[in-house]
Amino acid sequence: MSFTLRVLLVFHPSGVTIKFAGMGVNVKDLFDEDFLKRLEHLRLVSRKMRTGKNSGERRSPLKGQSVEFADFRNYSSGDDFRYIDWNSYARTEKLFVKLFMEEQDLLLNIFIDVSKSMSWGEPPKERLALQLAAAFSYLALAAYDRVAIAACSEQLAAYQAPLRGKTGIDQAWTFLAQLSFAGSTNLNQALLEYGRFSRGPGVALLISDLLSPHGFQDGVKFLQYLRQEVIVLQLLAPEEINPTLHGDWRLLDSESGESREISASPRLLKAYRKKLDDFTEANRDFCFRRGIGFLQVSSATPFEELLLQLLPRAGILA
Amino acid sequence: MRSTWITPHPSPLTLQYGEEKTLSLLNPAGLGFAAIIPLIILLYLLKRRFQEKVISSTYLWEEVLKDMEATTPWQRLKKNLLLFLQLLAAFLLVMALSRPYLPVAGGLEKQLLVVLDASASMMASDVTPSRWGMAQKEVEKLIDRLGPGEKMTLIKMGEQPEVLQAASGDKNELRRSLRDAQLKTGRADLEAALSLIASLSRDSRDIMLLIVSDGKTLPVEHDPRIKCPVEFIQIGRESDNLAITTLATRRDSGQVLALARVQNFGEKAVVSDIELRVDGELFDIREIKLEAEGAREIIWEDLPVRAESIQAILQRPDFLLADNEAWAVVEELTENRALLVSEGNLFLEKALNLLPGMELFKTSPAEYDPALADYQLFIFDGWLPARLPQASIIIVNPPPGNHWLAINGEAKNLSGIKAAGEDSLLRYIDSSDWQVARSQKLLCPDWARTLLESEDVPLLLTGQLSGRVAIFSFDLHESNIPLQTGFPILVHNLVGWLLPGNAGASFDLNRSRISFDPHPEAEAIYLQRPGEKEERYLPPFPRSFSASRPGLYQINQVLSDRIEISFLARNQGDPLESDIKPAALPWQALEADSRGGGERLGKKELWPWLCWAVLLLLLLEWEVYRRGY
Repeated sequence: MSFTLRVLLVFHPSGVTIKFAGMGVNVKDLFDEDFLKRLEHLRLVSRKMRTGKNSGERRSPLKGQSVEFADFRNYSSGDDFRYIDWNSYARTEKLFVKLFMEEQDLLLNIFIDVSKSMSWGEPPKERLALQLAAAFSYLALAAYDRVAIAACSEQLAAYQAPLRGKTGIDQAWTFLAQLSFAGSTNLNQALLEYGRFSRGPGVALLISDLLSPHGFQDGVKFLQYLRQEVIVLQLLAPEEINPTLHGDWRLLDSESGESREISASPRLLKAYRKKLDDFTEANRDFCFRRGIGFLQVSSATPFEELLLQLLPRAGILA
Repeated sequence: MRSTWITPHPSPLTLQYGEEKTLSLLNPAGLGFAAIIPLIILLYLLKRRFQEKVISSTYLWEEVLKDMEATTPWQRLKKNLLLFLQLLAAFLLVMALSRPYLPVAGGLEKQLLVVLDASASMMASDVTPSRWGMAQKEVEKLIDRLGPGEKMTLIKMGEQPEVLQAASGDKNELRRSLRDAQLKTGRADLEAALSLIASLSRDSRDIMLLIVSDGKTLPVEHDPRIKCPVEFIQIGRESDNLAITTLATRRDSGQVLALARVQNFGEKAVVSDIELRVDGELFDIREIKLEAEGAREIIWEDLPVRAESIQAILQRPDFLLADNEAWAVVEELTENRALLVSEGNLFLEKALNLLPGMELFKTSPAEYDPALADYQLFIFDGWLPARLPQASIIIVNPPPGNHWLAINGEAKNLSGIKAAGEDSLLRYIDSSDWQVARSQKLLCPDWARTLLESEDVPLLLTGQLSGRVAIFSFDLHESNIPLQTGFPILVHNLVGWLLPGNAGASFDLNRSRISFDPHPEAEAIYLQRPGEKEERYLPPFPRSFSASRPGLYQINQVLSDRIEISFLARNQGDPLESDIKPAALPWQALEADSRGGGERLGKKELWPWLCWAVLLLLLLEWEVYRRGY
């Protein structure tokens, strides 16, 4: 797939504006200027403060060098003179060192399901998946966080090592644009394989339709073991949420090619919806019990609504 | 109206449906179209090729199907709802093509015998327009339903059954006969009608008998064994009726009495005025009260001595008006004088004294004076005068050696007395127990004929000499005959014949005809029926006239010197016909086999309903398809 992405980074007093110079497929046609402006104001929040390797814009539970005062402590030898509070010393004749909230960078691991099933639907789920991945990576990189992207199918199909800074945006998007959606789904296996690339704690965002007999629970548990705060975004096509089949159909699995014959009666469709509800509820329950953020999204949801309303409401974006 | 479907002697040809009804096909070839059914199944199997569709994952569908198949094993059938609907529609269409029909009334059988009750009780107006009108409508419906090749025999049931149309398939003719049929005012003789039907249906097959009646007929005493299915269509609902069942007059010691018997056949006590008219003039009005199903006699005394006829009228309207009026003719003033010439015969004396209007005089043979001519009847008992008087005569035990009757010895111990021939003089008489100890052997003269005989010995002869003569060949004391109940009747009959009244008219048994014995000198007879024009008859006179309409009949006999006027009353009041309460037919065989219920045989074609059902099914199918079952 030929793909060109030209991004103009325009420095602006209020931040960075990204402009797309050429309109190709996939990512670049997903954002307009105005939308990117509004995107910039969103900030990724993580419910816990994280430690990180570089000072970033995320607050860390560690006190350190930053502008936000946190506390005092007695001076001990070896402390940086620059942090002695001389005003306190003048009042109490004791040396106190000012402690600041140390701002740390965040490692955002985006796991995007690139199995064949993701390319299905009207609109295709892959579109929204890529939009989300692009947006999250943009937001994170714009906030001087680090972003790693992993493409999952029956295994870890591709991995983009952590990127940093706004210059990484281009690279991240290029990576996303090159992804091809094929093969079957085995999230557990893919997430397990990610283990060897793990770079410490961070936020793991899993974008998938979760429609896999293998499940995803073991993989997510493994991510938690890797000290990842996990957010699961389940993308489903409208036809998957509310199928509108009539008559007799032989349904072919887009991944395995297996077929299943059905006579689509209202009763059957009702049973399907019930099954989907149960499935979603089970996933939500699993996630809730393990402190995992979970959100099911229709691929037909306007991206703006998703980013500006649904994700903030779910506490995934501030 | 209630109808009963009965088969006293079920025909072997009747296929039973449910037990009683038959579902038959007019066009069995239509069933050939049933071949379409496997075709539909085949098409359905072909049609059931699945459309293919690629979906993201069958993971959830598999789970769903696993659940569904586990919980509903009949789901597979339900999947084919459309197929079933189509098969049903096809089945109904095939059925419609084969034109099935249900027996309704008429039609199924090749010939329908319809008996229409035309007795007086059918005049009742408890149904609209009347029982008769409704019965006609019912029969008309049957005529309308008559299929091609089917015939109807229309029989009117009165005192005698009357075939209106015999095995006719011409609906117009049948309708015309039905329209022209007149209601009778007498009783209905079911047995006579059944006997006729039994002979009509003896050799025919596929016959069905339908009796349209209110159930008020003479009882069937000898079951004529009808071999075809019988259905009884009952007409009538109510029983409210008040009737004058008797109206009679009597002269008693110079005064005229009238007696009316009024019967309430209804189930409620009623009050009515009864009006008595004498020769058309109002004489009296009385209020009478009658209990439910009760009866009362009302007596009027001191009617005008010169009265000729009376009429009683019940004022209260009820469902049968014809029996609310009655007429009676007052006996004439003149009495017959009879002379009994006998040494003493108590039996004859008693029997003659019983006769109405008979004045009996007695004398002995020794005192007999041939100059006595002022008697209409002479009775010579064991003796004969030298010259017979110019009048009617009864001769009992003629002495041997007389001029008129040759005697050839004696016969003894005669029994098994029987009528020599059928004769109205012997009506109501059973002579089988009569015995005669000793009788003369009379040789029957030319002018006489034998009425009763035993072993060729004539015992009673009648004939005409100068007047009418009746001869008993034996002494009444030497027989048991005077002690038999038939004796006074025999005397009554004989005297009635010997002394014909001025008109000589009397009603015969079935009361719908006037038997009439005209005056020998009559030159012309005028008959005035109630409410009709006078009819004139010239010799030879008819001996009977029809008198179907109740009322007062006037007969004027024109003689050379005078006109003799006599009246005859014909009344409707009849306990059998006035009791209009609908009942089951008095036919034991029918009652025994009565199955009740409202089913009626006939040909009710079902294809229009089947077509509607198919249309509904198609709509349903469309809806099912739309909903995607």
